[in-house]
Amino acid sequence: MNQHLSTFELDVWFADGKPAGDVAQHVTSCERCFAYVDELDALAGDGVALRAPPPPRVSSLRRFVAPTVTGLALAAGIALFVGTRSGADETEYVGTKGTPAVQILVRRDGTTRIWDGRSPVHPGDAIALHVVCEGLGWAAVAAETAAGMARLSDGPCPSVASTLPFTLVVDGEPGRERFSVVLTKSRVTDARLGELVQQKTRDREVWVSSFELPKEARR
Amino acid sequence: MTPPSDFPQAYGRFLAPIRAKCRRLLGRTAAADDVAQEAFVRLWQSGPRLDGKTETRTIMAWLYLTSTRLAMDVLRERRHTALESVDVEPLSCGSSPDDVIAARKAVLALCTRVPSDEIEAALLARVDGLSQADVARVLAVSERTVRRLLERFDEHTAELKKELAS
Repeated sequence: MNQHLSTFELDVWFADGKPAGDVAQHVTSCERCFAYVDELDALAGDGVALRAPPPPRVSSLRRFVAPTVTGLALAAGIALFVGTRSGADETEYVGTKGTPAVQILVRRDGTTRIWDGRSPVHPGDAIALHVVCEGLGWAAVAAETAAGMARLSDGPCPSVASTLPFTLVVDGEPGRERFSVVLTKSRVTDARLGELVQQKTRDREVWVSSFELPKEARR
Repeated sequence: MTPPSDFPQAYGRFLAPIRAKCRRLLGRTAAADDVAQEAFVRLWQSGPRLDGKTETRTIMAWLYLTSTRLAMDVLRERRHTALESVDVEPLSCGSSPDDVIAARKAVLALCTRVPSDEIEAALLARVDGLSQADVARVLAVSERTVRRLLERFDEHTAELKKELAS
């Protein structure tokens, strides 16, 4: 391919997974296009600690995942840190060197704070997850639905401690926000993901952190 | 509403290009990342189906247009902020950094004075480096219309230069 490529063409090629062909051949021989794709790789892998835009008009995860899931909706990126131990006795995050960790950040009224493991979240709060994978390769966030385990987020672990590229927004429905972060060596099947969440597995190849955040009803 | 079960995958595939695009328009700023993310919120809410049947090119075009419009809102709000010195590279070989910077400067100066479709065409063609055929696809108009929009934008740019010179 001798002709110049637009960024749009490169972007489409990148989003298609960089398949072999004319564009791939061009990129390997064109210094500028190679640098551009290199930049895309860096942007894709940096964990994307995006700031939160205003919550979307549709704020219920039930419209994102399934009707039986209460409490969470995809919106934008922001983070707050929470402990990684499962159960109701979670306290403020204390990390152990060499151990995978999940940190939760909650943004409310323009302020981001560390969840203390007990305080209720409020409708409209934006919740983000910051992970330290410690050598594990894949991070999935899962929530139970009537149809089984649904993935709210699913992708390669960031190479450094980073906020996962999505945000959850608490809706106004009663109940608790429940979800699990599953760090594995590689992507697992939905069935296996469900098993790991149920078993709360933690070993050298799997690290599951389950969260249950109490929710304050809309005033 | 059909649950967009493929949304996380789409987010992973398209986020980097859209972040890069927003940075070309707004610099390496928090506003650029906010615009990128807002584009995905809108993709989730009202974008093309993410069921694996929609072409990558169609989804990318939709995200390009949405992020362009969101970025225009930001540019209009902060048009007095100097963007001239903000880095636009890396770019594909189809774009010249000097041309991109000049186009962005013109857009910044004209974004409150000329119709939105002209600005959109200029951003897509002159900043993002899209071909006229691709701009036509993104804006859902004919290539002839794209040529007309760009001609008008160039006329407005020339008028602006005259004003500044006088």
